[in-house]
Amino acid sequence: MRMRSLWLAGLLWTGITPLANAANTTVVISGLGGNADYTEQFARYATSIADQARLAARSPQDVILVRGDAAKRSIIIGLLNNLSKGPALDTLVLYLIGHGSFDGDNYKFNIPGADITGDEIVEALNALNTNRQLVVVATSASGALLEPLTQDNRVVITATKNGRERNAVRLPMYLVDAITDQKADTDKNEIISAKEMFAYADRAITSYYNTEKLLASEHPRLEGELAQSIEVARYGNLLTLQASIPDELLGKREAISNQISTLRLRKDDIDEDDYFDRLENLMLELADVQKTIDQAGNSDNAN
Amino acid sequence: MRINSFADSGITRSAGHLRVIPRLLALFAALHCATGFTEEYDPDREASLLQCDNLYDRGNIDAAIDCFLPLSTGASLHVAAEAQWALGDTKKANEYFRRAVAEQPGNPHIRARWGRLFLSTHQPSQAVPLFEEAMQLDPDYLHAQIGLVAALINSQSGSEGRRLLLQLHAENPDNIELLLLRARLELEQNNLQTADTLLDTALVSAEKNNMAPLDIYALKVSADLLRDIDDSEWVEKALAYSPAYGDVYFIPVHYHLINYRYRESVDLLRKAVNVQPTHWSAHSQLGINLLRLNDIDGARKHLEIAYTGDPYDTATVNTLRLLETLKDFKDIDTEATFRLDSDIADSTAPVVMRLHRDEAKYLSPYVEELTLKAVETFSRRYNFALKEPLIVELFPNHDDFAVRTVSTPGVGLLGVTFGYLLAMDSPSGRPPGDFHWGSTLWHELAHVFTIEASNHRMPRWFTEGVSVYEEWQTGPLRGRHIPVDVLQAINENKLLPIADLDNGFVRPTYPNQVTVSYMQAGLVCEMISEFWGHDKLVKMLAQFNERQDTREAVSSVLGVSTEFLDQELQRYIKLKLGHVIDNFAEWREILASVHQSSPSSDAATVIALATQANNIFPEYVDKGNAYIPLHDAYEAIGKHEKAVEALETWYQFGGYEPDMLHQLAHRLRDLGRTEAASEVLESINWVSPNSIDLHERLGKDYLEIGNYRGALREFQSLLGLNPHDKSIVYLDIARAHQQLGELKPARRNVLRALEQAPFFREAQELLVELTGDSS
Repeated sequence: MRMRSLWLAGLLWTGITPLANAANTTVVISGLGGNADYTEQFARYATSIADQARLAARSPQDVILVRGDAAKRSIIIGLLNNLSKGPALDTLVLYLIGHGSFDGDNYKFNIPGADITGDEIVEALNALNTNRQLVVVATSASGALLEPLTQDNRVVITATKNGRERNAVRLPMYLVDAITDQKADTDKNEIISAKEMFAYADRAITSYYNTEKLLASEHPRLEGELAQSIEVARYGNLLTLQASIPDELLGKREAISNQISTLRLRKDDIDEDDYFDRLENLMLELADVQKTIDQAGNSDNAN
Repeated sequence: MRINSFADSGITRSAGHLRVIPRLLALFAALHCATGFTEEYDPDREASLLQCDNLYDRGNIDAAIDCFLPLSTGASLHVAAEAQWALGDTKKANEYFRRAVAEQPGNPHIRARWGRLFLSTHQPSQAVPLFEEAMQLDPDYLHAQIGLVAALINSQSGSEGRRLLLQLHAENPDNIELLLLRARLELEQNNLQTADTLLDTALVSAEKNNMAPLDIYALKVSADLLRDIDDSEWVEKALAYSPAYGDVYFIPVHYHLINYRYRESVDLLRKAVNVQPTHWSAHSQLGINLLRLNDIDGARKHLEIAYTGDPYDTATVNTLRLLETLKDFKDIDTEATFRLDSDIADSTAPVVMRLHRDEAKYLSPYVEELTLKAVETFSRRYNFALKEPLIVELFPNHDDFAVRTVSTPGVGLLGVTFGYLLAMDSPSGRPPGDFHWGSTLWHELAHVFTIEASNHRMPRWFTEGVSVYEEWQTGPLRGRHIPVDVLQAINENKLLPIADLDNGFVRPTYPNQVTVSYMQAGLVCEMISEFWGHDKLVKMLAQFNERQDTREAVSSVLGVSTEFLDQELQRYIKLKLGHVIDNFAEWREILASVHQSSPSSDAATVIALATQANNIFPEYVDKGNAYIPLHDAYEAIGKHEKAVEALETWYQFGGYEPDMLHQLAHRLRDLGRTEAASEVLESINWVSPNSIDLHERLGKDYLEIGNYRGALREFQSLLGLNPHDKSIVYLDIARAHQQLGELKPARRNVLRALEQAPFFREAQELLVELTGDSS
């Protein structure tokens, strides 16, 4: 038990995303645009996010996209209720893309017809039987939901730091960039985690406002310990050859990766030269396994 | 309006009775003297107040307090105001004066005294209207006239104040306050004989009128100090008159400080607090000046004493806050190597770079490189070996730098040198491209040598002139950057005679005269170097150290008069800048037309006019130059090669706007000219190094062209900026080490890359290659 929690802590500390195949159920909802430009933008971002999720999904049914006129209150609530009635989900990933508002007390996600309130969103998500949740509220004023949504086993990403940042946000655009650009994958494991996605988008937003010399009107926030372990996209061999890579090799790769995490946790307690010697051995071992995986995948693929 | 502003100034607060008394005397010294002196020279002062003044003058402190206290709550409002002022409660004094003026609106004396209160709290702009109102009531009211003169001298209208002072003094030759004000100005200009005459007249007048001579004694000490007489007889006289008269040491400090003599100032201030331990201003100044000598603990001790006695002194409070800020700074030690002409081997000098923790990692390589190069260059060029550690401080917050410099935020300086310690704005302290920080550092480092080689005795124009000249000759930015308004001043013959050039720095008479004086001083030094030889500048420094003034040093070293030098300067300017001075109006007109035309819709016009402007004055690359519109116009019509050529010429002449430099580097790289591109990017480091893109691109360019040391510097700096993906940076560092044959650091850094990103294929491949593990 102690070993397991140590390992988990190491995983969080070292920032390595686990390699297990994703078992995500992804729901992407784009809300009311208010004008043609925003309507088109929100739909495009939502589609891109859903498309990227489908690439790594085990089944097409694991990705649900609701956009445009379909994004009505009854449909969204019905959808979330249905999810709560089914079998327990491993990981639910929910994206809300669009405009939000906050009147000082209540957050509302703007959709055609009556808006859906923050309380309703929180209630519906709390009712779901899931191991983990990632909730991305990429709307103006979404910071108002940060605290109400925060709980164990849930990672929350909002576009703003509070409900008073009411301008349209750029976060959805940078989220799309993050999951489609390999640069977001800082640990280079061909998996983009929620944490990596957020870090990429957060930097891009800061850079945008600095470059344009504008006062930043959005300050994205992330809450939740599990951000590094929730996968939002994958690419490269892991994506294209995943079916042909033997589980044994993937398991070996993960085992070495865990040893690296454990070693890194002990870095401060070990003599520096000794630490790097041990790290070098593990890294060489990992490189060897990685090479075999790449070759195995390629040869299977060639057949 | 005046009252609110006064109350909000933060300089004074109402204080309880018990708190006022312990700080009475220091505040008396600091605040009571409206014109910077200890004494009040109020011709209409009430007898009851004079009695208390006399007790104070004679050093009977407790008795003085007991004397003022009953008056501070007495029936007469203006007397109560004076007593409150003497007791240090300027807020109450202000309130009483306000009520006294309302009670006696036709009394010029009360208005003049109220003005003096504002003057004593460093608010000349609030004081001036009160003096003017008093003079409307009585145009010949001398106390108000003198107050106005003092206020003007201490404001932007200094020259007008000095003119009025001479006029008033001519009309009132025996007035002590006027004599003292004049003597002070003469001392500032090192006119010691004139100052002596004025002070002797003041002594006679004081004796005749039975007035305390303490201020006169203190200025006599100042005159002796400027003659390098350390044991002035006037100290003894002053202390015999008033044993706790700390001002006898405190007032002369001003003359050390304006000559950058901080060590000597500290010695005097220590004496001031010894004879008057409650002289909080002296403690404050002692703390501030110890900080200039890098004695941080000593500074804190005296500032804390000053704060205990007078918690409302803004200089004390600001500097204590700065000390807290300095806890976020990091000292990085390094060593400079240099060799003088006479040396057969290299010597070394310790250097401490004091940088904010947040920027130390990315900035220190550049600060170090430039500082070490400057020490090597200036030691050789000025034949002077540093005798103490050199401290280089860079402040990312401009107001912290301002407090470091003059103990108050809001000054427009870029850098200041206190001797072996220099402080300046960090490049992140101002918007990107706002200033060329490399040139500023170079300028300040040149000051270290001129100040220390002359033992702080060089005139202001000379140290500034050498620094500007060195910026142009040896600094990190090409070219002689003379602002347009300075060219205009030259065109309008506004330059000062060299013998009076210091006045352009300390007593400017028109708005941009300080800048004009910097440039003129630079041109004078450049001319001396070109016409007589650089070694003459070094010899002049030696003569200044021997206490020669400008006339004497010019005569003994160059063998000519300063008047001849003035004529030569005109010839030199004609030689170097004649092409623009002779066509100045035409050039400005063309330049204005360039900027009025649109490069995209009227490219042909812009190209024609910009070319014409650049033909007249090709070296002009600063704000509003013609090269950028020329580039834009060529771009607009698709002549990309010509556009690059325009930017390249701009860069070659010293253009340094970072966005344009990035653009030029990008275009040069596209043309396959990576080496030229890297040179351009390198130049951005001295303007705006706070850029991830810059270090990433330049590092990769250096890797490509085989400058692996340069690449390592760039990648290390990049890490200091906390890039999004450190693994790539570590991999590049490993590659640079590999190319240099440094295999251990190469392995270590490839492992750092993999520590960040264990599945990084390129890093894995390099690790396998470096370890020879091909399994």
